[in-house]
Amino acid sequence: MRPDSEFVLLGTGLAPLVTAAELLAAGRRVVLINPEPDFFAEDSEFPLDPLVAADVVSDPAAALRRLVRSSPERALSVLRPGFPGAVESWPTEPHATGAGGLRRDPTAPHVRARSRLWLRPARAVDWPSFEDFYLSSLDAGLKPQLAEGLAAVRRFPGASGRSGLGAQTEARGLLVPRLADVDVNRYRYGLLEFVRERLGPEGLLCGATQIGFIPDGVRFHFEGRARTVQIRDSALVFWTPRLTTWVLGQAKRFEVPQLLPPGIRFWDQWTLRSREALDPATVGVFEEMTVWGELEGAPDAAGTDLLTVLRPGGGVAPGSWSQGLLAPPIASGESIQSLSRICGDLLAWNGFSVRAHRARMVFDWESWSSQGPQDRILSEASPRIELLGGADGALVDVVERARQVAGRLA
Amino acid sequence: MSFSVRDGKFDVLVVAGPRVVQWPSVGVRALARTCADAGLTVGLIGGDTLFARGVAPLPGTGAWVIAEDAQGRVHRLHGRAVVKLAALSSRPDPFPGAWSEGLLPLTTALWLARDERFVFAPATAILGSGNGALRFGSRLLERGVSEVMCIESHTQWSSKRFAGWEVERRRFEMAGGKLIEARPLSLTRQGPVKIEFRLEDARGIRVLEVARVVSAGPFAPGPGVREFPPGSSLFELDQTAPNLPGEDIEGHQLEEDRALLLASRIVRRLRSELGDEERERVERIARRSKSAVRRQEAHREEPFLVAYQGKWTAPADAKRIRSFSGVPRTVEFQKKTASVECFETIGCRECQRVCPVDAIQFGKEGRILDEQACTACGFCLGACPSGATLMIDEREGRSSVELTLAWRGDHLWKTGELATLVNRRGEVLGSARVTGIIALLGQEAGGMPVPTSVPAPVQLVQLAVPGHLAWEARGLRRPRSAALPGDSGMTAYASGGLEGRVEVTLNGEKRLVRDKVNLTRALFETGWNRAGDSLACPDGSCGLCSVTVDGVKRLACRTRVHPRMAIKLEAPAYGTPAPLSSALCPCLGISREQVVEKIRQGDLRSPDAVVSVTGVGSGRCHGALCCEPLRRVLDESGIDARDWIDWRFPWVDWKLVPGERE
Repeated sequence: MRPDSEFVLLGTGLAPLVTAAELLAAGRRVVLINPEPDFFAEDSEFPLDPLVAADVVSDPAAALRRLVRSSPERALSVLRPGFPGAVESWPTEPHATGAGGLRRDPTAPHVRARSRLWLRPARAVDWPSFEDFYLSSLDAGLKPQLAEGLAAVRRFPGASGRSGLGAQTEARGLLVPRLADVDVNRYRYGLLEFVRERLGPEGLLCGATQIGFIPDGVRFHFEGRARTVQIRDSALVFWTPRLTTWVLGQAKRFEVPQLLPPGIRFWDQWTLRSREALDPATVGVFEEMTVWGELEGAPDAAGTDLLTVLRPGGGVAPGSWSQGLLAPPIASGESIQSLSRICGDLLAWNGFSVRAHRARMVFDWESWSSQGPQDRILSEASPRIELLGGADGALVDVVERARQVAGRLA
Repeated sequence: MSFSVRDGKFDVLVVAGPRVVQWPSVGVRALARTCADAGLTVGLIGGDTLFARGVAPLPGTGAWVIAEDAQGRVHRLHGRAVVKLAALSSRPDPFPGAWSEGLLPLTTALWLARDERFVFAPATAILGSGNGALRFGSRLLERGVSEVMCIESHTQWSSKRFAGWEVERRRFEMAGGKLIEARPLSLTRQGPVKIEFRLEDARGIRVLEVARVVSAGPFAPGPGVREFPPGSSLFELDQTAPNLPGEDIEGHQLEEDRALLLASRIVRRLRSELGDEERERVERIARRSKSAVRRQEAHREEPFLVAYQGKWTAPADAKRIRSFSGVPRTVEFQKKTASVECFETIGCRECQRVCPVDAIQFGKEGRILDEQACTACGFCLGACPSGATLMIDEREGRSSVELTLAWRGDHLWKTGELATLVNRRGEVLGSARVTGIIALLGQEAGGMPVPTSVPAPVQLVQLAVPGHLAWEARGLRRPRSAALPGDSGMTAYASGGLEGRVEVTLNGEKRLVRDKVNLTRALFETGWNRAGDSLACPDGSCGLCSVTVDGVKRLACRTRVHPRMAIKLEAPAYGTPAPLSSALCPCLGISREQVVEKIRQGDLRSPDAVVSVTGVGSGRCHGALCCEPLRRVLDESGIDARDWIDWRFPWVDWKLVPGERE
């Protein structure tokens, strides 16, 4: 066990890894502690910004802001620096090995550039809002398109190439081309492997329990033994929902006033298997659900048959954290009805196979503060303990924020 | 189109897992009864009317269970405790080619071996070395197949502690079979009965040319009841009673006892305010079932090879017995029949006298049995003063044989008791369970009169005897201890009746197949042993055995043969196996090496993380092919998967039906 370190990072997701990589690059000593047995057990990063779908009608300005931030160029500029290897962009053609004779690394994480298609029934009362959004996104240079009928429906994931869509063709669509989403798994595990090699088994500890701060250090149990790490500079706690109980306990211990957990947004992530190959080139938004063809790496000619449906499952207001977790609004009847509307009403499937369901939760930082995630100081005394928000959500935002934290500290 | 969704709430939900048969099984009934007696509300989800579609574990304890009823309504049921009944797997370790044509599951091979025309010669390789594999191998050798090999990829001979395994192994090796410790590498079909089979053993790679490759694993027994994660009240219970009670009474007893133990655990967890009397009752159930489970598991696992040494009938004597005219020749697959094993040239004709259908006659060589005429009434057993007559019911594929023996002791037997088996010399062979009392003969009992020289009454006791003891055990007595070994856990299958053959068109060629049988079986008979046909899913939900019948896409397992049907077989429905490495998930083409690499890369420590990262189990087979192999890879990678339960939304399609939204 290394006896001391400049920084101790405590978290369950990608943010502490990015920060650790940056601090290591700056020559600082780091110990990374994760209370989960698997580093990404919480799975708090999304490949794309899930809030765009809901905000178009309720908060078009915020949605536009999010869309502008979702460009592949920005994603590449955020993700490439500091990543130990290539971060590829999605080839436009299947089996394309590269543009201009450049070879692409097939095992690298990819930043995909997919169109985003909002599909609404032709007589939807909220369609004028989409038209307004079309104009504002046109002004923002996003090159949106409006489509009607079969031309719109057929671009929806799961509907491409299908006949017999029938009445579903009475629809309108708003299409915004080239928005980014990321190979979350490859990016996370690539970085994890790199950081683990740098830190070694004594510097990156998964499955730590009974974590508590002591003067000048942190004490915890790891592999059945109590361990202590001395902290020279500060401890950074990356706050994600799984750490909330522990964070609140620490806040009480250090007598931090008015530290309430932010609200939580729950998401149902359903994975369905299509009977036919899906065209992965578009991410569809139907009602409040975001739908895309699941694919890792570059697309191949066979396409994919896994359809992911991400549906907001309600939320828990700030302060009602403990009650909310007892009966979280996941896998609800409404959620299943929504699946039915996608697969039956829209895609005209005669049946669908649910391959997996994951209940995901992220903090609703906007309900906490109008300025988004903010940092708090748990303790100024040695060790200095910072509580950092924004460690969950869209992967690009998480990486950007973690890098900002590291830049400030390094 | 839409779903009707209804919410429900139960204390305990029992959910049928994929490929579970016999619903509700004996364990489910025992568990439901015990929980309900303790005042808990119990819901059963399975069978023909209510289909479990998936389980969404909740933070803390309990889960939502999503189910669909026969009317297409979807139910979202909250269970404070959820028990999943899991079918035992019978898939071997995967290797390249494992999913290609040419690999026969043991059940299929047993079924095909009934037909003498089905070729296993000159050589057959069997993957696995459990009792079933060895017994099948011995049978092939007896049939004249010159070379039979049982192959085990990662040998754990010490774990082969199934009752009677040493005996089966000795018999197999004495008959000329070979046990090989090697890892299968690839299987290439080169002709109808010619397969190139590559193995890697300690000396390197070797190539075998065999006619058939039969898969017969795995055999390592699991813990039976698991909870994952600890404290979550999400349990998995193994179904050890997939057959009728008479076919596998050991499995029934074990499942029932495990279920009772689990029920008492659930009751104690969910009902903290139990009264003294009720608590005492639950504690009593827990104590009894715990000791019973311990006894049963010892009964299943403990080998009793020492007791067998030197007690076998000599091969020459065994041959003489089996060829004796009083012994049934075609007893297998037929019916229960008397076996008059009296070789004495004496004038006693009691058996002949009492036989109501004159099935026993006397000839020059002694007693002659007309086994077709025998009605298995058992009168000859009661009449024989020396106990040389018995009844035997031996069916192929069953792990046990039913022997009916005469008992003239003071204390009569009861169904369910454990008995000690003895051979013709009175030496202890092992144990068997009394599965029924056929009759109580004798004057005092008011039944069939027995000779006055014979003490009455005579009880006809039916025993489930391990198959390898069928021609050795000829007596019973009460055991000194209840913990005695037995034999179970082998593959069983139901045989179908032979019917007329009809002409069908298969890929444009005319073929004769049996009428009204399952199309899967008909395809096997014509030589199309597709890997997808071997899953035997109960409802066709795996979708792997698709065929085109009369121009319409159908599932072979759900289609019956009819005259003049036109069958078109397409390319295998599952994905292309990974070409250079062993395919762990054949549907998605994920290799074992890829999974191991992901585990290493992410330092994964839990099975859920591995599933999440690799996507294994998300393919068309709904995890039926890859769940057990993945479990083994996890085990080899140092991840504790013993308590892992795959609670993903699994195995069947949701059909969209018209309905009102609620």
